[in-house]
Amino acid sequence: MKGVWGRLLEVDLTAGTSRSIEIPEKVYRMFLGGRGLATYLLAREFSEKWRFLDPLSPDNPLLFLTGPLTGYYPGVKLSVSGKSPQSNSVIGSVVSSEVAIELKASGLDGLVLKGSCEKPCYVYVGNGKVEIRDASSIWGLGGLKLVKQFNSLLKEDVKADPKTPFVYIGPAGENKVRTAAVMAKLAHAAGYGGYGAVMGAKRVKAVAVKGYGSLPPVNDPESLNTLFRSALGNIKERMKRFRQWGTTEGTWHTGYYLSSMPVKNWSEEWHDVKDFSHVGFELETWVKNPWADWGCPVACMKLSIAKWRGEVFITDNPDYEMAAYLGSNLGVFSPRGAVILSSLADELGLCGIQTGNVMGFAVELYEKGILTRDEVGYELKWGDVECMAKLMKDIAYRRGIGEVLAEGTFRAARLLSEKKGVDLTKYAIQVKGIAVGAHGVRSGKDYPQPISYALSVQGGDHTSVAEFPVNSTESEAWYSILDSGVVCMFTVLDDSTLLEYLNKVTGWGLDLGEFYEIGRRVITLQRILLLIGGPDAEWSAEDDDNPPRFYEPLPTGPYKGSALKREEVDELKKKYYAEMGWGEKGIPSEETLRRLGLEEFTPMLNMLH
Amino acid sequence: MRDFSKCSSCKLCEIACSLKHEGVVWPEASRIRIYELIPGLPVISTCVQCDDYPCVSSCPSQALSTGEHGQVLVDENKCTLCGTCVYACPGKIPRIVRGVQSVIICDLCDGEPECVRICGEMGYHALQLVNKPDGEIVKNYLVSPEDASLKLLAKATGEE
Amino acid sequence: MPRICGKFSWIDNREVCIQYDKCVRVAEALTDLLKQVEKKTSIEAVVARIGGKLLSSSDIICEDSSITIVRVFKGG
Repeated sequence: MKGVWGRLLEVDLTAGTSRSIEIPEKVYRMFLGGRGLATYLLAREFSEKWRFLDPLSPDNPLLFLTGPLTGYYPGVKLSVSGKSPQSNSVIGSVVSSEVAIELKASGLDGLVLKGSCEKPCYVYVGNGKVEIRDASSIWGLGGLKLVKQFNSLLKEDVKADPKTPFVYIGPAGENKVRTAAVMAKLAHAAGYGGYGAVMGAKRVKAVAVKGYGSLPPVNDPESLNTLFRSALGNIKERMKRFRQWGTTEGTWHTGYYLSSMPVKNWSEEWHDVKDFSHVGFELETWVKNPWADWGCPVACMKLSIAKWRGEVFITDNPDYEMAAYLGSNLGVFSPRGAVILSSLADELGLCGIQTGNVMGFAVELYEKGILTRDEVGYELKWGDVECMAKLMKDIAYRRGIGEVLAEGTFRAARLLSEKKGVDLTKYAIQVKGIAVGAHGVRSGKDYPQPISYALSVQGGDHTSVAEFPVNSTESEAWYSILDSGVVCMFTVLDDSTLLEYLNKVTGWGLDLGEFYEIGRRVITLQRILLLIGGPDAEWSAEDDDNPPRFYEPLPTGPYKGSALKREEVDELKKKYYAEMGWGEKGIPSEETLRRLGLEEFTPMLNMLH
Repeated sequence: MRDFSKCSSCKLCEIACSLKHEGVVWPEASRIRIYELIPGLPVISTCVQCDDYPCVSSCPSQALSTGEHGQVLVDENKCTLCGTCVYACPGKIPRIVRGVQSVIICDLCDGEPECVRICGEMGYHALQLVNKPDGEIVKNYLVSPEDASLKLLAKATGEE
Repeated sequence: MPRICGKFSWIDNREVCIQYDKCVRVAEALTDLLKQVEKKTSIEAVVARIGGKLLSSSDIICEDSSITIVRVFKGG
C-alpha cells in the first residue's frame, strides 16, 4: 500500500510492553487515518461494551494517529483521540505537531497507548522502538519550564536527537481536568474532547518521537511533487492576510458586526468594542516574526512574548477562539488581558474554549447569587483578569470551586443543580458535553446554522458542523475527512484538490462520491458510539438540540430580538436524519450501515432501540 | 546566509532539500536542518563553507573536495562513512544517515540552492546565497543548536 | 471588458455578476463578488475554479468568465 505503512505501535503502559498492529489497506480506504481510523478501531475493540468504558480508566486507549495525507500535503496535524471524557464519544481532536511526521519517519502510522503507568512517565519512541521512562522530574511543569527541562531530560535520559518533537500535558491534564488538552509547541492544543485528562489518567507526561527514515512511498511521486509545489503557491497566495494577522483578523469584529461572539457566558453576543482587533493586539505583546508549522506556507501563528507577575510566556498571539472565550466571554475587553489568560491556559495545559466556557458559566452563577463568595473563596467579576486567572488555576489544580468546574460545563451544571436543588442547565452553553465554539447562531449572520451544533457528532465543536449539503465542504462529512487525512483546515484547498492528492498518494482512484462516502461512514460510526455513550451520561435524539439560551432572544446589538426557532430546528433535524440515513430517532439504520460497508457494527444497534 | 528572525520554522527547506537530493520527503536526510528546541525560536544549521575546509583536509579517503561555488562535494565512491569529517567540522555539520550511501553535506545545489529558492518563494527570505564573508565570522554560525536556542530565548524574553 | 460571474455554492449556488472595464486579478474579483453576497466569509476561506481549473489569487482574468466558489473552512 502507498502513503501509509499499514502499521501502528500499541504500547501497554501497565505491562511495559509494546507490539505492532497491522492495518489492512481496505481499512485505510474506508476510514483514511486520524479520526476515521480511531473510530473504527475503538468501535471494533469495544462494541457494546463502549457504554461501560470509563474514559479516565486505564482501559481507555489514547490514540495518536496520522493519515495517508500526512507529510504529503502542506501543513501538519496529529490526530488525538480515544473515548472523550467530555462527550463519552469519539472526538477527533487535532494538534499541529511534528510528532506526526516523526511517526511516519519511524515506519509507523500511529501510536496507541493502553493501560497506565504506576508513576509519572513519558513515552519515547526512538527509531520505532518504545521506551517508557520516569517523568517525575518534569511532572507538575508547564510551558517554557517544561520545554527546557524536558529537552535536557531527553538528551540525558535517552540521548535523544535535538530534533525530537513531543506532545505533552500541563498540570491540568495531570489532575485529570476534563477541559485539559494535549499540548504541543507551547501554544498548540488538541482541546476538543478533553484528551489531556486521558493522558493524565495514564500518568503520561509527554510523548516524544524521533524517526530517521523517509515517508512511505507514494503511487505517483512525480505528479505529487508538482501538485505539492502548486498547492504551496496557491495556499500562500490565498492566505496572505493570515500570515499578516493570523486567523484572528478582526477578532472582535465577529462581535461587533456579526453579533455572534460569546459575551458573558453567551448572555449577549454583541459588544461595541470593535476597534481592539489586531491593532490592539499588535501594540501589546506581538513579536513580528513569522511562526509556522511543518510544511506550512501560511505561518498563521503570531509569536508573542507576554510578561505577567514576574513570569515570561512564549505564546501565540491568540487565535479567534482564545480571544473570544478568554476575552469577551469573560467580559475581558483588553488585548493584554486576553493574551495573559490565553498564555496561562497554555501554561496550565487547558483547552481555552472548554475552560473559558465553564468559567463563564461560573461567573454568571456567581453574579446571580447561585454560587457564593464563601464557596468560591473570592469575588468573581466580569472583566477582572486577576480573579479569572485565579479561577483558571483553581480549575487546573481542582482547588475549591475548581473541583466541580474541572468536570466541564455539562457535568458541573449537573453536579451543581443537584447540590443547589435548582436546574442550572439553562446556564450551560454546551451540546452533548462539548462547549460550543465561539460562533453564535442567533443573529444568523455568522456561519453556524440552526442545526450546526445540535446535530454534529462532535457536539459544540465549531470546526465540525452539521450542515447541508452533506456531500460538500459545508458539512461535518468534509471536516471528518480533514480530521482523518490528517490535514489542517487552514491550508486545505477544495475537495477536488484533496481528492486528487489522495489518489496520487494512494492510487485508489476514488471519485468525489466515494470521497464523501468516507466522511459519511466516519460520521455514522461516530454517531453510533455517541448514542451508546456511558458510563456517566448517555445521549439521545432529545440531546440533538441547541443550548436553551440559543432560543432566547439576543438582548442587545443590531440583531436584538433574534433567536433560534424551535420549529425550524425540529424540521431541519428531521431532514438531516433522513439525509444521513438515520431513522426517526436519529439512529443509523441497518440499511445505512450496509450501504456504508459497516455491517459488522450492526449488533451495536441493539443497544439503541 | 541565514536570518533566524525571518525563519518561520516551516521546514520547507528540509522538505525541498531531501526531495532534491534523495527524491523523497526525508527530513532526516536534508542537508539543512532547522532546530526548534524552543518553539517559535528556530536555529538554522547547515554547512558554512569554512575558508580552511577542515572536513576536506581531514578525510582519509580524499572523498571530499570543493566545487566552483565554494561548496563541499562528496564522492560517493570514495566515502567510507568513517565519520572523521564529522569531528573535524567545528559544528559537526556533516552527517551519516542510515539509508544514504555517503556522508551528507550541503553542496549548494550546484549554485542554486533549493532551500533558498523555496524560502524565498514562500516569502520568508530567511536564507540567501551570498559571497563569503571573512571565515571566522562564518564559523560563529556553528554554535550548537542547544546553545543557540538558549541565547535566542534570553534575547527574546529579555527584550521587552 | 470582462463580465465576471461568481456562483456561490454555499448560498444555494446564487450567482452574482460584475462588469469590469479592464482585466482584473482573481483576488480583486473574488473580494468584490463576496462583498455583494455576504460579510462573514473572508477570501482566505474560499477556493475558486473556472471550468474545473483551480484559480490562484494572483491570476488575471480578461475574458467573460463564470467562476464557481466554494467555502472550504469556517471559523478559526
